[in-house]
Amino acid sequence: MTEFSGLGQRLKGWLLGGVGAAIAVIVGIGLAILGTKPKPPATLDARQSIATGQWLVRPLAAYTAAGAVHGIQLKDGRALVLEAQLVNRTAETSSDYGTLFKPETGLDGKRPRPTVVLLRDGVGGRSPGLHPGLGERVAFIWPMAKGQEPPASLAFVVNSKRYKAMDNLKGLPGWFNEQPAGRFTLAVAPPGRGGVD
Amino acid sequence: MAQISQPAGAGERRWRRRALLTLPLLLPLAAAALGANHLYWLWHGSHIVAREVAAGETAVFGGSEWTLTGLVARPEAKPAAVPPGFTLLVADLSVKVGSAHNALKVGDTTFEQLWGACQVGVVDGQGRRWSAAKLGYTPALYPARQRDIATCGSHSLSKQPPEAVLTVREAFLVPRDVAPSVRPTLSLDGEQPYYLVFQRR
Amino acid sequence: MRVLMGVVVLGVAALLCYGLQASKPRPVDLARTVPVAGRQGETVRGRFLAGRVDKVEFARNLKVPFDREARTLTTDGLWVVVTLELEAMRQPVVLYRRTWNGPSGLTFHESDRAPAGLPTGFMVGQASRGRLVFEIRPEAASGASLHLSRDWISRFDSELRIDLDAIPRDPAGGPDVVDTLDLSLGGDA
Repeated sequence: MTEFSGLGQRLKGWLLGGVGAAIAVIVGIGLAILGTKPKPPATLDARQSIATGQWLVRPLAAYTAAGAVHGIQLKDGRALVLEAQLVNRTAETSSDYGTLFKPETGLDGKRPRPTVVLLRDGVGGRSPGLHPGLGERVAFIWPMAKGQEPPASLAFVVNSKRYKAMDNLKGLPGWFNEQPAGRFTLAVAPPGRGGVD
Repeated sequence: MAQISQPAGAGERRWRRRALLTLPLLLPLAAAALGANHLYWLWHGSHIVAREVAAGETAVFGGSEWTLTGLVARPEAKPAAVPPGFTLLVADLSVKVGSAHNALKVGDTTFEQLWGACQVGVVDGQGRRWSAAKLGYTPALYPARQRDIATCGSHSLSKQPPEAVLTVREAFLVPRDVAPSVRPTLSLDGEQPYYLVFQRR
Repeated sequence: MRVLMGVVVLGVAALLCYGLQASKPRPVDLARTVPVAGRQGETVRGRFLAGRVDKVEFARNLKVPFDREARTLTTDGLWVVVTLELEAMRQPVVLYRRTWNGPSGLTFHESDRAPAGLPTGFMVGQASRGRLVFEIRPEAASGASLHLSRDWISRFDSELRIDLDAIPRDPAGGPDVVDTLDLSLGGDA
């Protein structure tokens, strides 16, 4: 049983505390780095519903189209279309699905956000607000790179966001921190033979 | 049993007590320091204090000289935009653009900054407000040949030279019964919280 | 003994801090819009806006004008058409957030599929009458309220919350749902 007394002992105490704190900080940072290390997304069954934070998703079909598809005129070249059934799992109408799917290959390098069309009544509303608990069939349409050959099958990553009751900037509730929830593979039908009707 | 802390000496105890006693002073001071900016913008971010301008008089505001030269009902200028029971009230303000150095003395504050968010409105005796109507293309009020007649917003973006004399013309959709009594108001970014209220003849 | 006391004091302090954090209102709750409650059929007056809901109708299909012909809009839930009258009281008002709030807290925005039946801007002295169309889940039909505000986060602005307690009911007590509601005729709105 030693008493920390005198200047030397006091210094020793400070050093001990400092080393302990340094170790705690290093371990904390290390754990945080390990936690953010990207894990390969899990492989999902495309025939079953996939639950993300905001959406219940069921992929229906993937195909390529040329000219016009679902009322969208394609300026040049082809487009990749993914049809899916979406159910809003949140408590409020939302159209936050722009980054829900990410085709792994087959698009031009810039990967523009898809045009999203509602497939109901043939009216073709773009970027529809999807209401809580009401399932809707929608088409995600990505323009393809010029001269790109349509692949026979394609993997899509499904992204999911997490709910935060308070964001760090303004203290507002919202959905943040998008992470891949998994990936599924669909056969891609050539133009004119796609779609489920 | 390791004891890191020593029993506090008399000097340390005295300082501890002093620190504790200054807290009730320091906390309100910190709150005031943090809130001062909010209060500043509450005061300077909206038009609160009216300045009356007598009929026919000229007021210096935003570094320029403003006169109300006309306030007439002209529903025939765009009949399609006028709902039943309403009329189209057209206000003309004559402005002599200042040299940007005269009134406010804010260094080289430019015309555009002083005139930013220029808002002309009308207010009735009960404090009800109407803002300028969005009429779109209306050649009857803004003839293409007369470049000096425009809304305040478009004048403020037009880089007018000092001493230029312009007409700011704004149109308002107001109920027909209050049209004879409403008074035009003018608010500019550079002059908030003050705004002008023009008396009618 | 002293170390034990220190640990206890630390634990109590941590609990206290956690309790404060968990129980205090969030900034968004302190500075959000101020609700003004009212009921269907009466004029509800907020800070800048007065409104009155006259009629609520439920339908499985909606007939709307589209390119000079009528088009039928279907839904997996229910269509609701709310007929209401709004007037700005002191200054021009814009109204962007118009929602149907079900009894369990589900928030349905105005439908973007049906054509807009109510303007977003309102002038003093002119009562605007119009229709709001929502697409809702059937269980959100009874006990709902209509929320109207400039924007949910406009601080300290008022938000009209109109309880919709006079909805049409069928003999069993549930909402009376017609098969097709025709909006292309203009109705009485």
